[in-house]
Amino acid sequence: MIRINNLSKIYNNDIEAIKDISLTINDGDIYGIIGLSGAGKSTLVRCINLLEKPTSGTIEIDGVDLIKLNEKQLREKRKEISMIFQSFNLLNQKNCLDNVCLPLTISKVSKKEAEKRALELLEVVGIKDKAYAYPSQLSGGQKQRVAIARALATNPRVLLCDEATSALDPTTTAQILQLLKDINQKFNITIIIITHQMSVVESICKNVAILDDGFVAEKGEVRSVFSNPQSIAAKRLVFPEGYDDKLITSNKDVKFIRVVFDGDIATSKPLVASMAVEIDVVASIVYASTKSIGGVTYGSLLLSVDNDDEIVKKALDYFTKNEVSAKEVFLNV
Amino acid sequence: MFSIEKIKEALEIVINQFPLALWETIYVTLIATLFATIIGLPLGVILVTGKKDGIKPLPNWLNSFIDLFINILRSIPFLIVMILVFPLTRLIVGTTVGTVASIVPLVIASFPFIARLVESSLKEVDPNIVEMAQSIGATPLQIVTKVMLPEAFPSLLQNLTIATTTILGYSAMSGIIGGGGLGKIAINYGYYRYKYLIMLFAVIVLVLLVQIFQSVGSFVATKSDKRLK
Ligand SMILES: Nc1ncnc2c1ncn2[C@@H]1O[C@H](COP(=O)(O)OP(=O)(O)OP(=O)(O)O)[C@@H](O)[C@H]1O
Ligand SMILES: [Mg+2]
Repeated sequence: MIRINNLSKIYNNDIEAIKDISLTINDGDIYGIIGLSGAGKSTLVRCINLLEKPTSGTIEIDGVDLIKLNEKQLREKRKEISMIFQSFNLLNQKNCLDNVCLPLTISKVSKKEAEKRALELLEVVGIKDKAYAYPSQLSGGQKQRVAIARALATNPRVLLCDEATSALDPTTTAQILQLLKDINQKFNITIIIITHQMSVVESICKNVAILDDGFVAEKGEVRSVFSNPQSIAAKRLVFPEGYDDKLITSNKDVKFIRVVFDGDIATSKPLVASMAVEIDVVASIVYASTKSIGGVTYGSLLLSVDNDDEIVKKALDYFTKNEVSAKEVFLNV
Repeated sequence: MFSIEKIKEALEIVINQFPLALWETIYVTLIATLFATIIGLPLGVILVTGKKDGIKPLPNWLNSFIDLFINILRSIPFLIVMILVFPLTRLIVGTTVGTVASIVPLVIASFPFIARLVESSLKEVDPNIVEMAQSIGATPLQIVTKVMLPEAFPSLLQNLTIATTTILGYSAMSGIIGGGGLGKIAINYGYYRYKYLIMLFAVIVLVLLVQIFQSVGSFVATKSDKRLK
């Protein structure tokens, strides 16, 4: 279990990047930390393995306060806390196999044993055939797979991901997220995911904390935070282009359904229209933010339907049947 | 200007003396580069790792001292270095003249230069990669040997080639005060005895040597760079 207590970081230039942050992350969780640029996400995640020294507060992993460790103990502890990065950070002059071997040779594992384990891990991440290729010969997604294999080499308990998919296209992002999900289940590794993308949190995280200007604006289960955002920061994330407040608050006689297109299916069906025809549920679009990339739709819709639980259920079932994720959200105040 | 006779005479000297002189120049250059690298490489590493935001920060005064020390050594002209290190040369080699003796001032004059070149090569290493190494629990020494030096390898090779050709030039200069090799021939025949043809030959061979060192070094450096494949 990771316990972060009253963590603050003030940089030399007096910028207070994170302020009094407290979070508890359970073993085996996939925990998202989301926020806009400059919110302090990277600072927070880099404090977790003490790449950045917090100004105050504590970080406990399985009851051990990292800040109290000496340099040598910290280095050993870091072997239990792996990290993957937006820029992959592979050694450019070494092939994939040697890159994955690096954490092992650093831990004085014999070359032969290290290579054996590295090959196993490259198999786990699905690019064993690239073992002898150099990073410059790989695509972004492949590089991140190598980085994930390297991160797993020391059998870590925690995997920190700082914008690990931000440099990847949507399809590759989905594949890498699926891989992380598999790894979480297979090895029971706690994963902390830093991102500015809603879709990332929605597709794999169980819990989420929303960071806003250095503070935790809201935290909890992804389902409840995203379907019923309370804070302004959360609402801004869920509806990035804003929505018409009046339309919602003035109309108490409707219920809202949020539909998310995460690129998993290539739907060309006009679902809102077809819903009216097929199951006789009429919905109006309150808010829409979708884009189509390569024939696949990403984004979300906010629909309003009549204030009737029966109708809401029918609509939700309809979307589920069409393999689109939809949830009721509660926006009326 | 150059009569047949003079050319004949020059050729004779070239055939008799050049092979040994060439060999002396090459080995003095290589040995001096080797020793200068042995001192300059760790120093260059410290220049990078010891910085305030480096992986093993040193006290400020020590950083300033190393910096100043290198700058001072680098600003003394090579001829003067040779004279200044006479006592040291005598201590190590037993004499201040001759081919072997010229290695000492060459090393002293060029290790600060190599330290700076190493510093610039290591500074090119992506700080994100260094951070990754810290995140996997590598010690500062492991970060240097397993991450920074291998990542900077092509650039280090490129810079060491520059150092070698510079040292080659210095070694020719050391011919003036007792060093051997092609420099000595150029000075002895060209300057003291006005046999310009010999001097010209010696210079041509030196130019060719620099060309060869530079081409081979660049070729190997480029070949070894895995980013370009
Ligand atoms: N090394 C540093 N020195 C000084 N200020 C810093 C440093 N790193 C970050 N900051 C500041 O701290 C604040 C939070 O930065 P941080 O990188 O944690 O944000 P972020 O949420 O990761 O943003 P992004 O999504 O753009 O990566 C910013 O105002 C930034 O300018
Ligand atoms: Mg960041």
